Amino acid sequence: MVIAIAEARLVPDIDIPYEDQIVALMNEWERAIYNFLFVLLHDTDAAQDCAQDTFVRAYENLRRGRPVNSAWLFKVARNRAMDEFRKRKRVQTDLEAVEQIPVHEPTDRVLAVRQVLEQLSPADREVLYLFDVAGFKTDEIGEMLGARGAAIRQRLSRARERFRALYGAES
Amino acid sequence: MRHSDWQTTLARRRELSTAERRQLDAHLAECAECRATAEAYTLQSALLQALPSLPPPAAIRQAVLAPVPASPRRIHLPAFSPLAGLALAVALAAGLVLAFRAQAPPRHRTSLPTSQATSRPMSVAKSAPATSRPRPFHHKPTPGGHQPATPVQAPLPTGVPTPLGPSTGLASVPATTPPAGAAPTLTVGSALTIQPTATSRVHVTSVRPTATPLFNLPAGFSPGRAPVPTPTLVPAGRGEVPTASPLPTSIPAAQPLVPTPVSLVTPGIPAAQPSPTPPRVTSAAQPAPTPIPVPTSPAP
Repeated sequence: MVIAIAEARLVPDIDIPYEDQIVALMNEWERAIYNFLFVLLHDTDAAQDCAQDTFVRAYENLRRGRPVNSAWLFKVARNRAMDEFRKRKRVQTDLEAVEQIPVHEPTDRVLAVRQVLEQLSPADREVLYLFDVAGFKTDEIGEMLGARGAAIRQRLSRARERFRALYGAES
Repeated sequence: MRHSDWQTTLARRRELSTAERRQLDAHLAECAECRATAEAYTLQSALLQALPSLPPPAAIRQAVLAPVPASPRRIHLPAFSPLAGLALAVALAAGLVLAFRAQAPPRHRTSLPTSQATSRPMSVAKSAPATSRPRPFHHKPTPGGHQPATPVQAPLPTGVPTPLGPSTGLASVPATTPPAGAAPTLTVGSALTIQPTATSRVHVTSVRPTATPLFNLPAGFSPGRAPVPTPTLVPAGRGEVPTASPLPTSIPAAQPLVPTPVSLVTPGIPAAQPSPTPPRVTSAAQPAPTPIPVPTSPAP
C-alpha cells in the first residue's frame, strides 16, 4: 500500500463544479483516508464514520469555494479520529479489531505489524503512517498536526524505535 | 554529530537532501550500529507500506455523494459573504420596524391624570394604558435637584415654546403660541391635545434637572397649590456672634420654645453686641450649655 500523495496534490479548479471535485477527491483519497483512520482507530465502523464525516466536510468546503487537498483531508480525518478517541476515553488495543478486518488470508507478518501498531500510541501511529504510507514530509506533517517540523522528526524517530522494539519482540 | 542525531536522520531517510544523504552514507560506512538501525527502519517502512489496503465501505460514498445532483453543470455563484448576510438581515429588520411603526397605533408612555379645567375641559385624544410608565417631565433645573412627584395645579404656559423631552415621539412637538384671542392649546405629539383655560391640573411625576432646559416655564409660573411651609434655619448675620449671656434663674414652665438662629463663631472676630434673641432653652433637666469662649485681643 504505497500512496504517492506528495506528487498528487489536488489544487481545486474553479472551472470544475464542486460536485465533480468531490467525486475526484473520493476517487483519489477515499481508500487512503479510510485506511489511515483504520490504522488509528482499529475499528472499521468508527473508521467508516470518520471517513464519511471527513468527505462531507470536504464537500461543504468545495461547495463554498474553499480549497481542499490531500493534506486537508488527512488533517480533518486525524482530528475526527481524535474526537473519536475522546469519545471512547480509551484506545482499543485488543485483538477484536484485528479479527474484524476483512483481509483475505492475512499473513503472519501482516498480523504482527498490526499488533505492533495497536500497541503504539495514536501519536506514533499517525506519524508513522503519514510519513511511510501516506508519503508526507515531516514539515508537512508538522503543518497538519500543528507542530514544528523538528518536533515531528523527533517524534518519528521515537516512534521508529518503539516499533522496532515491539516488532522484534513479536517476531 | 551524536548517535541519536544519526538515528533521527535515519528515521526520515526518504526526505533527505543529496548532501545529507552523502553524509549519512559516509557515516554508515564506518558505523555498524547505525547500519543495523538503517536496516531496521527500511524493513519497518516496507512493512507499513505492505499492509493490505482495506476497501472503504460503499456506504461512505453513498452518504457523501447522495445530495449531489446528477446534472453536474450549473451556474456557480460566488460564495455568500457573512458580512453581506448581516447587512441584509439588518436591512430587513429595519424595514420591518418601519412598517410596524407605520401601521401600529402610537404608544403613549405618559400617564397624565384626567385633566380638569374650570370652564373648558381638556380634550385628550387617547388615554395612556394603565400599565404604561409615566414619562419624565422635564423643566428648568432647580436648585433643589430631583424632587418627588407632586401634583400641582397651575396655569398652563402659553406662548412659550415648550420642547418637551426628546426621548419619545410624543415630546417632539413643541407647543405653539396661539393667535391673540384664541384659546391656548398645548399639543403634545400627534394624539394628545390639551386646551386649557385659566388653570389646569398637571401631574408632575418627576423633575430632573438637566444641563439644557428642555421645558422653559414662564417667568410668572408658580404652582397653584401653596407649598407646604417647612421650617428653615435662618443663619445669623455675619458678625453677629452671640456672647455668653447669663442664664435665667427661673423659667416659666409654660414658656414655649423659641428657635434661635444658628450662628457660627469665627475666630478673630471681636465680640459684637449681645444677640437680641433670648438664650436657647433646651430643658430644665439638661445642663446649661457652656458658653463658647471668644478670643479677645490684648489691650494695647
